[in-house]
Amino acid sequence: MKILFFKKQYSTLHRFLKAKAFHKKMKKYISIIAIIIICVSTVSAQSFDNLFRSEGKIYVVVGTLAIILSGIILFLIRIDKNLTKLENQIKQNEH
Amino acid sequence: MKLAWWKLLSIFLLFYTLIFGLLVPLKTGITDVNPRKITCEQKVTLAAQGYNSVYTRYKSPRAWLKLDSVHALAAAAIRVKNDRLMEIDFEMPAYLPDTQKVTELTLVIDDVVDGVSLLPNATFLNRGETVDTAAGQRAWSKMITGTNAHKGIAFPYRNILYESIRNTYFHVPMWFVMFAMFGAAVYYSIQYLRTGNLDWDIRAVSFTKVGILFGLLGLFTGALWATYTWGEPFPMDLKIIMTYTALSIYFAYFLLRGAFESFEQRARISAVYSIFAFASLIPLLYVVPRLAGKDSLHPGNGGNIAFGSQDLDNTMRFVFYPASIGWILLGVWIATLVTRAALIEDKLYSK
Repeated sequence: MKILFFKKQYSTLHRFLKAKAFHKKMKKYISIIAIIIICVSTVSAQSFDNLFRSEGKIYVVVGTLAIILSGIILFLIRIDKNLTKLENQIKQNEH
Repeated sequence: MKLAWWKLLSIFLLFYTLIFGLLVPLKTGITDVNPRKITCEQKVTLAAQGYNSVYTRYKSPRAWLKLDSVHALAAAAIRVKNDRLMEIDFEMPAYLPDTQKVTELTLVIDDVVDGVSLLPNATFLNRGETVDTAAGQRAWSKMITGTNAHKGIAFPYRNILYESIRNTYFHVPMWFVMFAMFGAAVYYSIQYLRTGNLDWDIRAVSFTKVGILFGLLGLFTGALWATYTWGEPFPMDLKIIMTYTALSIYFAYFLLRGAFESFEQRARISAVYSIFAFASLIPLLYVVPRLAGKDSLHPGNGGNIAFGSQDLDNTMRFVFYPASIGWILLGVWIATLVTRAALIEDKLYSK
């Protein structure tokens, strides 16, 4: 009974710490993204607008291709991470 | 490692799309005309700005101000300033063939070198105080005949769209890929319900994931395109609203899967859900936007039932269809990678 109680307490503490670490990580990411958005929107919103309207709006096509490529690459990175995890699991199973 | 034939075909078709979709030029067009307002019984000089034009090489340029399908006025004199600028003199008659106070005129320029180019609503004509439609009929009786076609391979020139017409090969196929992925997911779901083998469920989930990826790519590329053509990233267009609904249904698919502990129950219920989701996708994206009486911003919706010759000309078809097949094959390729990883994961952890 005592052990069970301890275990439960440990797990909540562990979970709390894990959540805190996750929170810290997320905070870092969110602040980086926020800084990028603020920079882009304040410094160059107008120049971006001009760029996309220039040269017969060809940069809209360039932007479209950039969105597609970055989306697919992010997805491939996800698959890559998953495969790395599986490889590690297989190595662990062998030992 | 030897690549499967359809993977090689996908690579080839996507290269073909990129090369031809980006390098084929647009047809000649007119971007702007100055002045935008003219009155009757007046000698006017219109300065026309060309796009992709070589005015200095024109042999015998002709120009008209077109009122409607039967009424037009020929130019009195044409002076070419440079390749992109042309000054056209018109002697405006005193009367118009109709009684409208303000008439929109279309400027038409034609030559053997570049073919015919036109700008709708080029300038607005105010009629004089008196109305004489019979005299107007006589004055505007010049018909536009014998216009030349554009030589060589070129995509259509559209005002507002300009070069972004090329997005047809990148934004539109995203939705086709999404459809293909969700359709494949339905097939795998049915296979699961028939056989009860959990491998089919894994395949269905992987294809749905990739379908969502391409749906989101379609949404974001559409947002960028709409910002610079329709004025805002997410306009209140029926097709776009229906797209939100369709994507929400598929997001709910993953929420639903997360709610079950038992693998069999999760697979069975999500398979049935997937079939119903796809069944609702077709009316949402293809039927409702067409049934609506209101015109949609998307071509081929609310009015005509498919891409008309106005929206997709034959030159574009030569790139658009290969592009669609190429993107779909790429989607299948990515989905098979996800499937293979998920199947390995399943074998590893179920041991």
